[in-house]
Amino acid sequence: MAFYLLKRFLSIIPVLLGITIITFTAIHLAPGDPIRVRMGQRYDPVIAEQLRAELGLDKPLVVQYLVFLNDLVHGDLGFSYIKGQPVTQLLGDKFGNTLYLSLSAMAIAIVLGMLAGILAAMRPQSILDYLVMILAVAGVSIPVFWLGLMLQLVFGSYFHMLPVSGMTEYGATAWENFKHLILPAVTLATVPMAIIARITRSSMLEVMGQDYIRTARAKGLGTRAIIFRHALKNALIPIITVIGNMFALLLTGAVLTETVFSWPGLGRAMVDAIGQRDFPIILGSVTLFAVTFVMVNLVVDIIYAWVDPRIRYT
Amino acid sequence: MSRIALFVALIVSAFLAACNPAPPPESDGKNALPTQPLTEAVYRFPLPADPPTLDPMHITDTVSDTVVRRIFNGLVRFSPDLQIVPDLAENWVISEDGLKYKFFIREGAKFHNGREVTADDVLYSFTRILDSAAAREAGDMPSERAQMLFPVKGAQAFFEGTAESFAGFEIPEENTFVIHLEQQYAPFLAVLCMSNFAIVPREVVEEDWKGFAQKPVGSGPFVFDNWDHDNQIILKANRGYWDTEVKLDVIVFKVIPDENTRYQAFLGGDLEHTDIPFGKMTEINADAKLSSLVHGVTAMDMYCYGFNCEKPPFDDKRVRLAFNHAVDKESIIRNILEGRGALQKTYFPPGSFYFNEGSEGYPYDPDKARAYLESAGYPGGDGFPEVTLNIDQQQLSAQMAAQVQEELRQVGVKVRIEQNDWATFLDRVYAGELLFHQNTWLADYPDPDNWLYVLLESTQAGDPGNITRFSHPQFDELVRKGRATVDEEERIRLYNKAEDIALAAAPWLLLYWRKNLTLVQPYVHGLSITAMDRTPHLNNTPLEKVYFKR
Repeated sequence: MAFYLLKRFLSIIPVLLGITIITFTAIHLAPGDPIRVRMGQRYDPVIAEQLRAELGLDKPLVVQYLVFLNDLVHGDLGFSYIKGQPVTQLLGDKFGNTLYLSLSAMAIAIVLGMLAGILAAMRPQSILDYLVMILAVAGVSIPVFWLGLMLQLVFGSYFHMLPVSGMTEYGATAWENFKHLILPAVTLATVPMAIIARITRSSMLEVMGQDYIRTARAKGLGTRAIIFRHALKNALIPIITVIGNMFALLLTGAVLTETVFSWPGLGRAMVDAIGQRDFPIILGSVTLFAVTFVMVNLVVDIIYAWVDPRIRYT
Repeated sequence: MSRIALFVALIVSAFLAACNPAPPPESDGKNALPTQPLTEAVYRFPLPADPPTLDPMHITDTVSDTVVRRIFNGLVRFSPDLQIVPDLAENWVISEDGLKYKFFIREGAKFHNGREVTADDVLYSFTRILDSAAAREAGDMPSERAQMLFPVKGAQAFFEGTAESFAGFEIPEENTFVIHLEQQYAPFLAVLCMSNFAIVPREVVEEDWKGFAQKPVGSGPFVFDNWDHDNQIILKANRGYWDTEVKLDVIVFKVIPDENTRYQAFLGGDLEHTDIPFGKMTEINADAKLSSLVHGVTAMDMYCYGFNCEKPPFDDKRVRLAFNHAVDKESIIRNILEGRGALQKTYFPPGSFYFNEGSEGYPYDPDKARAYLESAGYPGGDGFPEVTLNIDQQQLSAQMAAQVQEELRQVGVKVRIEQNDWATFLDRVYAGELLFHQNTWLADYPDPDNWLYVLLESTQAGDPGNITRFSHPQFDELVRKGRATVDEEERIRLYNKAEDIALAAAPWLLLYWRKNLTLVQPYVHGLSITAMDRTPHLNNTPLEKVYFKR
């Protein structure tokens, strides 16, 4: 197992090399100049040259990439071209905020999604089943920004129940700050919740048709025991796969929710950086995304082995 | 069962962990939030983006400007009606030849660290902008706006490192600061009102030059308290402010990038003011309560199109005039802007000592447009090449471009619309690649020099600001004279002539001056929105006199 883990960790290296080379090439091929963005509509060539030299942008691309790699190995992602802050600190703060939002959304999605899926699977073709599946289709189909705006309209400006933007409030209590989380977390939870409900339902239905479930029924076990002790356990593997994928997606792709609710997260930071051609932040966040994806997949694989003792890695 | 139970426990603990977020970054205990917010007057102020910097010498955008203007003072500043008024300079004398500016520094003004502001700080703040070597030594970058001080004697050579010192600044006696110019430069005093020229405390900058952009210390009405990036910036009232008693207790700048979110937050009572999202003006006008909350003025803030005057077909002024007469600008203002613009009939906006009131601009007249096209050799648009109109990615820009495209089609001209992101747009427009493009400008300072010279004089072509590459020797001579003449009457005469030339040559397709209409909560008093404000950030509006009366 230790050898397996080491192997998986080392596999990050080629992934990172490939992804940073592609990103580095792409951002330098795209039109747009970070110096021009920094200087705004009053560009002065004399000053621009000084800034360019200061940022190392006057060096050949290969040298610039090697400098980036060297810094990366030393755990340094450089300074933002536009904001002047260290990229590691900036991305670290943002990653924490995104993790807070994504974990909350996943908690909602997993609890409600699995519950709905199980209920639907217990009574297939019933009204409850149809209702759950209609809601699941709706959940997957509703555009996130539209749902966000509707929730803001209803709970924010109409009922004045919940704040519609930001993460904290000046001078607010912990509970008031927590209220900032509710709308974005619910919005972000919708798609994974719907997908988890569907996969739980189908996985459970498949398991419920197996012989050992019939045996369990025949020996007189109660429905609850059958569902939780026998069926769900065996239906979990595909659900965990979906949860893992969804979680990695939320961590890296919550940009719409973050924009609509002014959540200071990673997705927004990266999209802003692309608009401003802030190369160190773009490269830094892509690196972070790649590591996140690999790590989440690794954790999912470990959970497989834990849930299903038949799975062993060597 | 035990594994499932553990799995559920894992989810629940993850959720619980999520419910207890770490304290916001940047808070280091010293900046802990107060516990009695309800008794304080807290102004919740929306920002459309997180400011790139709070170090005055690096400011190139209006959002940073918004925050910095509340923390710092300059030598001079703009009043709400855009007059130049004393700030840290109590008074000043300009020599008769216009080359020597002597400022008398106010006594008793203090920085937020309690130390009195001296002429030495003024000298340091101005020198720092030009001292690119010192910036590099401190691990920082040179100032992006150093060129604004190049009219100062010896400044450019010092900035470029070819001279070790320069004679442009001096402190001849206690509490006075003198600036010597190379040549007469009429708008210089107005230039000094830009936030780049704020006065900073020497010892604080020298202790941590780079950190100053994150934790600024000034002498202004509000004291920097805390910055949680992309979320909020907190400033607290300067209770010992030298100028006036600050009525608010706290300003919370909230970073809210989406205009609809800002609007919902305002309606939900979470903001003291906000801008009005695209398409919402009609709804607001129909609501008596909301429409009574709208404030704002016509700003020195232009939205028009530029022609590349060097390249065909736009090197022919008849074509440029034809385009100008083909577009129904009033209908754009009425229907697309929902009235949030004033018809642009001139090349310099109203708001300063000079305005060409007699100009009629280019009234909508498709027949006249067709006649101009015919005289340029394109009867009915025959033989006229398809041209591309380049704009940014705003919804508003796209809607306007679509109407312009349709109206030009009616006079026989085919236009293709291309939207670029801002970085790409800047790159292409300054390189002179684009033929027909969006042309926007917000006044740096309310002086015709900031438009007619910077945007249309021929030596400014390309990078310095003349993106249409307009070149007209007589116009050049007039605006050069305009910047070197101190007498206002004479300047008015010169700019009137220059503008007549521009109007006849039509280097731009004039559209409108933006109105910075802003929704302000009814209990907010003392907020005077100026003609140099963008909304929602109201960068130039003073906040020290704002108060709440519920």
